[in-house]
Amino acid sequence: MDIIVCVKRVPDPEAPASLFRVDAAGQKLVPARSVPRLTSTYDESALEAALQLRDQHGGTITLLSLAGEDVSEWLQEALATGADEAILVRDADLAGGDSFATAEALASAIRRIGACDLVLCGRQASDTDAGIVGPALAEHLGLPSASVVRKVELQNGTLRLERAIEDGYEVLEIQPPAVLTITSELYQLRYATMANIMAASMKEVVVWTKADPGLQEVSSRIRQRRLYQPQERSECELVKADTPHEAAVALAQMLRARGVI
Amino acid sequence: MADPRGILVLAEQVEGKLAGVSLELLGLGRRLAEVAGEPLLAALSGSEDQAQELVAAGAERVYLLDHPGLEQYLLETALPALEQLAREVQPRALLLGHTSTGRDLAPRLAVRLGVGLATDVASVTFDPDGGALVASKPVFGGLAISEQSGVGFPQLATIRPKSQEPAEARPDRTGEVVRFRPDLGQAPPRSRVVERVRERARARRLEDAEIVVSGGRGIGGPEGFRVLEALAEALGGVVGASRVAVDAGWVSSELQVGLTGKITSPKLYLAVGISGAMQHMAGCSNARTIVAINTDPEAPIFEKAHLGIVGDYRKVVPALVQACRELRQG
Amino acid sequence: MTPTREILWNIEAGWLVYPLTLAMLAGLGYGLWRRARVWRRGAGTGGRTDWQVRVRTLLAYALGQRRVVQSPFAGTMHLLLYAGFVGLFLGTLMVAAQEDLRVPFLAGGFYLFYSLVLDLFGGLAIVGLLGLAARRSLQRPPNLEPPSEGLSPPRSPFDRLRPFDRLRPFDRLRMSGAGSNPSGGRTPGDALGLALLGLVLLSGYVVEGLRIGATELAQHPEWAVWSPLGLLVARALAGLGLGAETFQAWHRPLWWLHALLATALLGSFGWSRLVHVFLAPANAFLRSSGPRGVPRPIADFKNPRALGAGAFADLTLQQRVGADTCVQAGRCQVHCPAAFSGKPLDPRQLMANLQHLSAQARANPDAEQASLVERALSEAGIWACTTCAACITHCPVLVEPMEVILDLRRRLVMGQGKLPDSAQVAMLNLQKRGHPWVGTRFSRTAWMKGLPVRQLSDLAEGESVDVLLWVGCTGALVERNLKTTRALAQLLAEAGVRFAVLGDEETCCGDPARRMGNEFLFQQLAKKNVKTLSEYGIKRIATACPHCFNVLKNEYPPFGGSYQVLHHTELLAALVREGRLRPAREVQQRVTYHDSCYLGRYNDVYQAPREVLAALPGSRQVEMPRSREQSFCCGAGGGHAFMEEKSGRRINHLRAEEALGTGAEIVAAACPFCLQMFDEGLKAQGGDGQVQALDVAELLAAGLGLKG
Repeated sequence: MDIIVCVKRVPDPEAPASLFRVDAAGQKLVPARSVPRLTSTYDESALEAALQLRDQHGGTITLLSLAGEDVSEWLQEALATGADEAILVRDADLAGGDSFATAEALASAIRRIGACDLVLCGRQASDTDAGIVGPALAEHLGLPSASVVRKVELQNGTLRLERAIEDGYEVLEIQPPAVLTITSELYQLRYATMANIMAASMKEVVVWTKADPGLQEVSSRIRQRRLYQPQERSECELVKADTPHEAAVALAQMLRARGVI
Repeated sequence: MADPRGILVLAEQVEGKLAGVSLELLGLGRRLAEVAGEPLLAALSGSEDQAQELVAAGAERVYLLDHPGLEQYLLETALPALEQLAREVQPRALLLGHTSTGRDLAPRLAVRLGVGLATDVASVTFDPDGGALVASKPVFGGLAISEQSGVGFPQLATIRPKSQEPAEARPDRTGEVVRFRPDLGQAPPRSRVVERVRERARARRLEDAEIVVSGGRGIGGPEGFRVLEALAEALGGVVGASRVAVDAGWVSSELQVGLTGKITSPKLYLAVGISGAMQHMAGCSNARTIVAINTDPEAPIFEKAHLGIVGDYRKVVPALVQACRELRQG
Repeated sequence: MTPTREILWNIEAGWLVYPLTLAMLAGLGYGLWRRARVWRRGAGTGGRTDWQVRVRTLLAYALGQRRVVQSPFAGTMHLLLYAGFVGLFLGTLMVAAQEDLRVPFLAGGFYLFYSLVLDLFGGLAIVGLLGLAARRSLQRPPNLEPPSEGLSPPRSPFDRLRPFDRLRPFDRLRMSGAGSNPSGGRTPGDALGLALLGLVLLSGYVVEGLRIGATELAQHPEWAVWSPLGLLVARALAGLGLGAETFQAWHRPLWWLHALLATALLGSFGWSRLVHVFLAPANAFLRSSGPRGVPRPIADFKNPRALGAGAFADLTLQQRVGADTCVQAGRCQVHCPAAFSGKPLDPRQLMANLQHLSAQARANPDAEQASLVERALSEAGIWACTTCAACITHCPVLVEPMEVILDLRRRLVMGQGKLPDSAQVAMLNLQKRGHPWVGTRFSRTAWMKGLPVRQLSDLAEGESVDVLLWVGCTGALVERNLKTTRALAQLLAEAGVRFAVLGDEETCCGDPARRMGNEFLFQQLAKKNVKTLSEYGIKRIATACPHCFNVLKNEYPPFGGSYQVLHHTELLAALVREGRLRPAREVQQRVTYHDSCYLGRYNDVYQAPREVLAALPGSRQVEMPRSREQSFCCGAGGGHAFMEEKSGRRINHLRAEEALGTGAEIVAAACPFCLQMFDEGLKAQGGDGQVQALDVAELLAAGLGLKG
């Protein structure tokens, strides 16, 4: 199987909130220099899913990433778990748009790469939390798609997958090629062995820009009006009630109000 | 071409029952429709009775999507059907739940319709200047909130389940139910649903659970964990434990949450009888909401939790189970 | 007549001694050569080659028996046996010299003196031999028992090398392997060896007695007294009514018997544990002259065979010699926290297994290709090691089991990507975020809030500091340990020390990566830190974490980083001595100090923290039963701060018990990991109400009234 895995480098989503600031224009969240830049969490699951499919059925895995700056070093490290090659579309204009722009750019890059059997994305990026790129990408490519896939196998040339639904999962069969967005339940990215790390260090990341044929302008469709950081409530809100029963009821309502239950 | 008009909501049903998110969407839709001064519409692939339920909940017109290929949700058929409906109805806004269905459909629909999309939205307002929806959605795992509007109409958004007040059913309401027959073409489908499997939340891995009810030293014994299991059941979550409880043999080590156990990142973490030591907190500090129930008001957990009750879990938790059950049903 | 004796008296065909000697040398040579073939298949590690240091090590440890005597009873007995045989051997050489070189120097007063000395040395050897034999057969010390027998309270009043009394027994250790022996460290071969030694000594005295009886008893009794033991034998035999002719008749065959026994004994060294007579000095000489506990360097990560050890074939020359040198003394077993707490790791058994595999390799070189995992040590055992270096510190023949364990780990991690889940989580975090503390909500500068601490990046052009305070990951990111960092910063400010921190520019020193087997990640981190440190021109560093201390001081130089590194207790002790810090507040409590492995055994820092504690007015220090070099690990080393112990008792609980047993109200430590372990351990043992675990810096800060 020839698989393309879309990966994104994001600032560490688990870094302390104090290390992030909204910029003066009120549009971007700027992390401090010390915040590590990592692979988006679900993208790692997508990569593991690809690796497992390749273990079973052979083929190649191509990493594809879109970024405005030179992230080749990170992409090369991402190769260390065993992907075969990496392509970076490096263009500030292409990368500077919203999820829809990204999907368009990735779609044109995938068309330039050529035929593939499967495109895997993480179900949502750790920074935007949008979950738009995967399905939108499928739409641009005219391919079937499924989102929040927690398991995918190839059986007799058909993709058989488990998709997470509200109270369980559904089993789907799709004819490849297709685009799937992966959720993490069964896919923990494997630990890279030295052999793979060394092999990856010998590989070159292929870099494309807007000037390369096939990559065209993209357009955004989301207008961000404002970005702000919510007030960090550091105090624990203690439920005030006379009896344990009342406290429990009050708590349940507070949780409902927060949209948690 | 007419101006876009109306708030259209995509209702979902599973095995004959309307999904709770449908009523939440109608609740939100009604508020938006009132501000915009436009009708509240709904779309559904389901039965007449369900359509009537939507009417009772406030939909002025319900489009019943009528096609054999739509009996069970399948992206391949639902997408063109919804696209055609949207082009036909030309609503101002089209709202879906941020459910497995919504996640699947909305982005592709946005591309087809040439519009933008806000996903996992917790709150929406209507901007009369331009007629767009202003959606607030958390980004960076909640570190920031983005207020966004999409370009074009319909304004598309997927709404976070349980974030909106559901619409109340009033049997005296009236409304139209219109059958809509999309043209899904003759081409054979490239995908099919083999089966749907219902899973108890307990079967899920701790690391992936959305809700974790965790017990520590304060539980006192294995029997206490039955109470926590009931709460987990009521909330649709799983049970976890601190290392103390595992060491004491009250629960199996599979349930251990912490630095040397499992790392969880649920939207709700209930720490019952847990003191809040660093090694344990490492396993749950990413939780969106941490609730602590502990008899000791000085316990460090209260510095890390967002909400807390100082009290005996044996009294608080059973009441909480009851309250949650009622809320979930309502 | 001048006192002397006729060499080879009563012996015909005395020239046969020469072929016998040649045979003995051939046997010895062949025995060593067979082993050497296996050793030479191992690569040398190409470490430093300071032969002066190596010769000194050889003299101190092999000839000087420095480690051996650390076990008072066994050590003394061995010393007697060893000295005795050395003396007898030299005496025999002198006899041979007289005979072959025809220089009659064994005459007169010198001869009498010679006789006395030799008799005494022989007597010492007998005493030593009897002592050792009695110890292993009657006393049954725990270090020779298989670990499943459990470790019971000390039986001998002489040996202070024992676990303390209140240990509760644990489950049977599931440690086996290629060299498994239900009797633990005692084999039939050992008994045979001791018996042979005894027979050689005994036959020697009988022969001497016979000679004295025949030539001196009646004729020169004034000479005979100079051979007291021989005289005793002669008199005893005479008392049986034997005459001079009988003496002479028996003397001849018994003399040849003694000669044959001695030849057999020495010639067979290569096949028995007695080979340690030659290998212990060799092992001492070959031992790395570098800092303690450093695993072998890896430069070529492309070569899968260079990534630690997976099979016997991957062991280095030094490791192979070490495997053959092991005498199964079992001191490593007694001191190993993993073995002691019921884990499937027993360093003595590990070396026994390696010895067995070495023997297999002698017979069949292809046997070296078989995996060491399970044969020498199970995976669970490989991960059970806390790298406390007790085995390295206490081995009488300087063998290093810990180094082999680390090499096994490296192959698992780098070669196969196999490591326990929680270790993997910590390792990945280390790789991605530059620290192992998953889930921390702190940044590296959060601890500085409210304190006038400066980051190096804030310093003005040309401004410098006396010392860089290296905070470490734990001191910055784990809630409990922030208090120590703050206390230390306040102390330094109080003493007027100009210092700064790296703040966000600090990344993990790399110790967890190296000790968990990921040498590649360690080198990446080391190189990064060295780059940052050299950009700032840092020369002097102080740190509160012994792991950082050890790594910065001893393990960074090969990567270009050479600094003067102090542990914070060393710096604080100096400040107290200089009067720059004068604690005035009384500490009316008993304090027991826990020696951290990486501070004590790795770097010999025992006194400085005690000095600081002694400076606290009113404090009374009480030592735990196992302290200083014998200190018992807290259980967090070797990556165990991030891993669960799966069997036996928790190491930190055992140590907490020991601390509680001293009756102290304060457990003082100088390591952030030890403090975490004590916090949990004291709580688990029910002592957290009365007993507190505090860092030396926190105690000193309290003594100065500095509020955190």
